[in-house]
Amino acid sequence: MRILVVEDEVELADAVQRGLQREGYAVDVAYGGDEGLDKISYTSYDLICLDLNLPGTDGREIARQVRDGLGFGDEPPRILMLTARDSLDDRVAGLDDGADDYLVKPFQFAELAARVRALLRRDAGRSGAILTVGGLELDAARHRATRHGRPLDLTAKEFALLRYLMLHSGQVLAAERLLEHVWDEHADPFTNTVRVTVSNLRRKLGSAQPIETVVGSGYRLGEAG
Amino acid sequence: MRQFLRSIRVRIAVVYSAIVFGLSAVALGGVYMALKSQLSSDPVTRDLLVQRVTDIPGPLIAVEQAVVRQTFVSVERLVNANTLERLQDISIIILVGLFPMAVVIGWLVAGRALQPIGRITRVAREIQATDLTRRIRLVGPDDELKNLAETFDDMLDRIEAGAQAQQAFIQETSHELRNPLAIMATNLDVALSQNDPAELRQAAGVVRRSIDRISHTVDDLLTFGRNETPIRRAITVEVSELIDTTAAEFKVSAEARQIDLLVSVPPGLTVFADQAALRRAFENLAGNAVRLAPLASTIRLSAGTQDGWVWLAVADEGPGIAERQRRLVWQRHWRGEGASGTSRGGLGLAVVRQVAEGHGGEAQLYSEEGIGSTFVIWLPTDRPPGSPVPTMNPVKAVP
Repeated sequence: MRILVVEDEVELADAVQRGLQREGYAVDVAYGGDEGLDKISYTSYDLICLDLNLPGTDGREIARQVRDGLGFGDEPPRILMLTARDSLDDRVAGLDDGADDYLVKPFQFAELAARVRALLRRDAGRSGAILTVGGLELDAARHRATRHGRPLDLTAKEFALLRYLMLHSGQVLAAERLLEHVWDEHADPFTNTVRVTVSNLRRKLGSAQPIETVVGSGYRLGEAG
Repeated sequence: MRQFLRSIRVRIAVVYSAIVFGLSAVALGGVYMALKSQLSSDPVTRDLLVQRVTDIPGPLIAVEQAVVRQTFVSVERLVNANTLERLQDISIIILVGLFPMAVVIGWLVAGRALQPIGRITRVAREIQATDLTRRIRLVGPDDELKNLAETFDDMLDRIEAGAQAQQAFIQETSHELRNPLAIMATNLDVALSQNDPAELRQAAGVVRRSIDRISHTVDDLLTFGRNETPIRRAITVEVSELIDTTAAEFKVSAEARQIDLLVSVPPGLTVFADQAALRRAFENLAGNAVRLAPLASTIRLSAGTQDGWVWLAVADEGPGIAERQRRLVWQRHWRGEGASGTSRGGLGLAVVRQVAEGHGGEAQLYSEEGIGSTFVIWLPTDRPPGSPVPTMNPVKAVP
């Protein structure tokens, strides 16, 4: 899951980035509206945390452009607006402009994380807080994954990879797509980091491998696992 | 009941009917008295000469004359007395009938005249209960009450505009306080979820900076909210000392951004001003410049005199401010536009303007896009009355 934080308060943006990274997301930051638009137009984000008041292009304008089809991926990114304005008019305007959710500053980080999880779940058309595919169970809120009831000891990246695979179970996912959604902009596209992480994850999942390699196309998480 | 009797409508109706009743009584009484005196003193009947001609035998006739007035007068008296009595009865009947009619008519007329006041009261009551967008909008002839209603409407316009301005001000100010609060909250939340002393230290630093920012905003609010003119607390201020202190205060944050702070003040320059307010204004200018100037640039803090004015200036080498923005800069909560991230924002520059104008001076911005901006506080000293603020950027004149 790849997230962009667009926020001109540097210390806030950095803290949100750090916190979301610990939740296992790949997080990029843009400190201004124009920089944000740039990143949105050439990267496929799953979610954008968007400040309303930005120097340059402001948050509402960015939300409108995303609603009108700006974006790189196959699916438009979800938008979570972060703002210090909390009048009803502001909320309505923000949601009309294409925001999917609205969080008023100052917020508790736990709430931000919960809303991010909820928005990303909505993306995959699931409602429960716990993802289940076959014998695999993943609780994003508690950061726990089990297979047939046995807890898995996963690194943040492996956890994020497993979550992405589970959200798109049954689909064939190319390594590039995984790199784009699970890793952030600092990942080197020419490394074999995806392959290494997938093989580590497989090792931890144990026998009766649920992740299959589709030769020449990518990886698929089967229901059978 | 007392309340009812005290209402203007009741009072008008009572007074009206009393006046009508009184006037009618006077009129009828007058008629009665006049008639009475006329009738009794001055009988209508003239003397009546009665001749009795008696045919007596012979060529002569006997003529006998006699006045028979007395008999007629007594008949007339009787008739007059009857008429007067009739008149009295009729008058009393009319008066008795007139009184309730006068009350009813007075009540109706008063109600009709006071109807617009009822509407004004109703709308005014609704306004305090609901919202300020309602107006009386009285229709009818262009009279005193319409005039009153229109005056009320004008007043409501001004109150509504004031309330909206205040609402916007509160919104903007809360926005300004919420950002540092959000920074603190998020940094603490994220740091506390980990057991890393280094990260906790860093979060503590962030909290420290945010608190400074919040207290600066609160100071600005207090300065801005004080309605008295600063000149009342004016003393002789050493300009060079004020600018040196400010430069020292921003030294560390300027160095962090590799900014050179240059100070040039002629020795011995003084100005009669409210020291605390002037310091705050100048700090706001310097603080903005240090925060927003490009990395590794130069900021000049300078002062001087020109045409009877003392000026204090902060000049940066930033991107400059577009012509159409220059007027707006001094308004509350102006935020710079453009990709450079120039959010001078907040009350800062509005405070500068307020302080300058409170001293009878002016705040000016001279800017050239691509070269830099100079913010100047002009304060009057011994200028001839009415002389305008110099329009030239004073910093250009300094080598």
